[in-house]
Amino acid sequence: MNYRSKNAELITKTKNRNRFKENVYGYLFIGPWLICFIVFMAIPFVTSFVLSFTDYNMLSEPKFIGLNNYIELFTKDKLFWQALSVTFRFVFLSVPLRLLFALAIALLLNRQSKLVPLYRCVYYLPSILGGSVAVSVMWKYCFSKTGVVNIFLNSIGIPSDISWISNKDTALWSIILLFVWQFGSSMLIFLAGLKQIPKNYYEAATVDGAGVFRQFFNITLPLLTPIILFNTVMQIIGGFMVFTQAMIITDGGPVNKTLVYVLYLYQQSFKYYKMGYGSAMAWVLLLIVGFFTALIFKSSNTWVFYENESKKPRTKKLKKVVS
Amino acid sequence: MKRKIEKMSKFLVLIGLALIMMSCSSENDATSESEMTGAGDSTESSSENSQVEKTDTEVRITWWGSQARHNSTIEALDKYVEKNDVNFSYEYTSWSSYWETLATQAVGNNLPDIIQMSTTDIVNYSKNNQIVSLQPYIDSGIIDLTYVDKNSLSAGTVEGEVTGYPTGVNTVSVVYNKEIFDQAGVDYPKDNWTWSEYLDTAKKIFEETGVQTDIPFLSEARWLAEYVVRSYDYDFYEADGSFGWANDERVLNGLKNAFADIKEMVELGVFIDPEVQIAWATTEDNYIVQGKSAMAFLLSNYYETYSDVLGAPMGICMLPKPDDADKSGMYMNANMYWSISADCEDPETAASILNYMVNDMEAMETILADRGISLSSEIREGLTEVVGEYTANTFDYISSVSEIVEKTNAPDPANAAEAINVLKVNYQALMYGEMDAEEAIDDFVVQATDILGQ
Amino acid sequence: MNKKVSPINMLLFHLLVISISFVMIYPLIWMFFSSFKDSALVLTTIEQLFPSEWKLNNYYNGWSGFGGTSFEVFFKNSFIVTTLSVIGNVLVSSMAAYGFSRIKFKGRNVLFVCMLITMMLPAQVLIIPQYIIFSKLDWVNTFLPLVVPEWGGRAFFIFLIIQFMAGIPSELDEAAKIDGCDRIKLYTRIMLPLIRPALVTCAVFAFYWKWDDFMGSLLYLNTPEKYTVSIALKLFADPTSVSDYGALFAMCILSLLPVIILFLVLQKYIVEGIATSGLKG
Repeated sequence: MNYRSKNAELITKTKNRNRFKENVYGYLFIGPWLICFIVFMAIPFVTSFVLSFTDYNMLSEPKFIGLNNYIELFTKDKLFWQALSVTFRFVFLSVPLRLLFALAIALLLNRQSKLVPLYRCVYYLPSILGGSVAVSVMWKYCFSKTGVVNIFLNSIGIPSDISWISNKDTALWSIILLFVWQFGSSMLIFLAGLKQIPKNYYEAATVDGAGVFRQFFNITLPLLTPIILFNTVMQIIGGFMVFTQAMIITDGGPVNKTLVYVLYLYQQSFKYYKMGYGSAMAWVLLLIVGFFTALIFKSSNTWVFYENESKKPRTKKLKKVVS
Repeated sequence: MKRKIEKMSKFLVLIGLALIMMSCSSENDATSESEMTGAGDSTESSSENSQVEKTDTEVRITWWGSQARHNSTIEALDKYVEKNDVNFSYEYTSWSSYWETLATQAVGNNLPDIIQMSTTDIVNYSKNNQIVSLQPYIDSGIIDLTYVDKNSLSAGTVEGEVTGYPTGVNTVSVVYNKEIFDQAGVDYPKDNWTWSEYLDTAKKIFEETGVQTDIPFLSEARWLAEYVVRSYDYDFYEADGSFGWANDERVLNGLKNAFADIKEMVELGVFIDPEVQIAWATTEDNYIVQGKSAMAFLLSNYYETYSDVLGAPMGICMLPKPDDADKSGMYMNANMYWSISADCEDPETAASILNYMVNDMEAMETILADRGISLSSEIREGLTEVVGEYTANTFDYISSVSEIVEKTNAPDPANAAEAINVLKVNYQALMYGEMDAEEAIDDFVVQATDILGQ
Repeated sequence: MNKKVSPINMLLFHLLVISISFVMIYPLIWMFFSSFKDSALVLTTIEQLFPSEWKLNNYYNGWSGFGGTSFEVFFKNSFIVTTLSVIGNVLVSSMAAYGFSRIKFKGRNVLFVCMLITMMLPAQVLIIPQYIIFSKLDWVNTFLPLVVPEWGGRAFFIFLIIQFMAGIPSELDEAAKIDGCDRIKLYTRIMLPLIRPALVTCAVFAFYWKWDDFMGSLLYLNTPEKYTVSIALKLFADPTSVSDYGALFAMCILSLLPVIILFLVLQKYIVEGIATSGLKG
């Protein structure tokens, strides 16, 4: 009896010590991030949350007004709904397109060949330009009535002379296309992910007689799911935050057809000196984005395969290949 | 254990390197670091130019613009440095980021000493005491009003205090392409022409030559609306910031008719397609400078650039009076202002610099009319010899307008920006066929009244 | 991935890739050639790709910058800020990622969610509180507000590296532990080399995001001598005045060069594969 309880004690002590060690190590590694997070992120976050309950024009002290900003936002602000609708359309059109292109091109460029590095650079170039002024200016002209896009379409037999950025039906598309055009960063991440899939998996599969499509669906895709998850979440978050391009290319127009949410937020905060209202808008956005992110994460339990944990999906065929 | 130390030391070396690099580049800002205290103490001794002594006062001055303005302003200020014991810190940026930056600096009590201010923002900064009254410096003569009409300072007066010194005045105008008029055999417009005459002119030119006319002020409907309102003898804003004309059926109908007329002209094809016109971003895009448009409504300070690009002097005249209106609705605004911030430690020096920027002949010869037509008659006369034909035309035009306008407008009230945006959007919606003229005006009045009342 | 590919296949491949890439970067090509056109002609001769007269004016004009501060200064500043940021960012992000993904410490899930949330609030509402913090620290008008937060890593990179680490089987950890490796050694000697593609990818991103960063730079760098390239480029295109698009494009091309060069150089690290042969045998 004595011996067993002493043993149990020992085991618990070791467990505790290990847990303690784990905690120490954990905080050691996340230490720098944690410090910066608290100082440069957490405090501003809390501040902006508090500001959302105030009337704050930045030039004088904030005045506490309770939930008024939120109430006004949801009940009186027509442009709020317009901005939401524009942004939702933008996100759910541009993100899938972007991911599709990124994956397709990554697969295409995932081979050894002298010129491939150059190609990768070429496809990556557009995304380097990001929200730069030059790109927005150039995009504006490419999509204008006499711009390159129309010239191109006319030359392949599709008559077109609309001014894409000022036509109320196509204006948003010009921004969507800009966003999709810059798929290079997602492509790179997919590439890195593809490269991480061990070659011997494919070799084993070929030996087993699996064709290209089979290999794609049973090896590539499952092993790529963590990366797909990452890109999806990131692109959605990024999509909701779209701002610079909409400001420079169309400035929310024509007739607010491209008034993306953050642009409207910016106008409220800095053009109309209503930072309190803008902060409220920001927190509403956070809830929306958080909601979608949580949704995706929740769903990821069913479709994402992590090699370092024993999760289940689609592993049967994979295990067969692997073992 | 040894490995741990190894890794740690590598890490520390990296951090050390980083700090060294940062401090190297911060050597220049070591002094400026000490000057940026939370209280916005900004005239401590420091210098970018290591040749100048460290005991000079440094004045921070900020403005928006593009390369041309940056260069000319710096040139003018450099000349000031040659003659005075001051040093400048130039903090210029572009319009689109100016207000964000300024507001943030205001929160940190770190505003630059001299600020270029705009008509839409001056009220906010003034009412919240972020910029100071210039009256003491006017009274003491540092800011020289000898050649300036005191009434023109009303443009920079908020709640009775002059907090912004107008760098110039501008107004609205109709510019037209003389050649196209000649081709169509149509007489040039006169200053006292009517709205119907304007529409007829556009139609006739279109019939004769196929050349269209710009939609009036598509990018900012307010300039047109204000003109119409004023022609019915109302101010655009009352003293309390509300719309005094919102209940007068005559005015509302005047606006609605004008808007409806314009829409009709668009549908007839006499006016340019809004989709085309909205896409114009730079001067070169405008049809009027390409000879593809007969007339355009324009702010007078753009006349010079536009004529320049066109390559020939454009005609310029006042806006056409609504047929049933009482008088001409012409008005004058300040272009922009120079203000002194509340964070400025040495406002007297700042005021002298401000005076230099608006009253000194040498400075103005560098800056010319970039910030508008000067309030000082001495400067205007002096510059007439130096400026080109186009600027001279603008001078003349403004003179003739100032004869019929009582005084320059006061700045917009505090919530105006949001209200005006509604008008702008509704006007565009009208042109795009999403609203009719009734709706556009009524909705604007309702929303604006609500916003202005906040 | 494939073994020998037939020459026709190769040809088709190249044709396909080239034609898509041409469409993709045509706007950039246009920008490149426009930078050699006379500034006034840039927008009036859109259809004409090649300049009728090749001029270097735009590069001279652009390089001279504003009021005496040339792009040499801007480039130098950009380099300093960006390089320092990248080093810190990648380092700290990978550390944090390791902590989150491999160590079960108390509060891990909560902090992970916090980390993700940092990406969900638009920067526009954070700039004022952050400015106040930096202002109280006396860091305004220095490079510090631009670099120091980067030494806290970025949620994007942390999350990315976590996902890559997820692809590394945990049996590796066990094996290493049995061999006597402690956590830190595991991290530096085993984990890092295995996720090198991810690290390099992060470095490339960190570089060009920082290089491109405009608002942060503008807010905290008040004097033109400290301006970075991104600010200077923005100054060229002010909508309220006539803009010198020729010079804008020219400088934009120049500012792209470091990023492109970096990318070409680091390419091979990104696309190196890994072999986990030691594991499965």
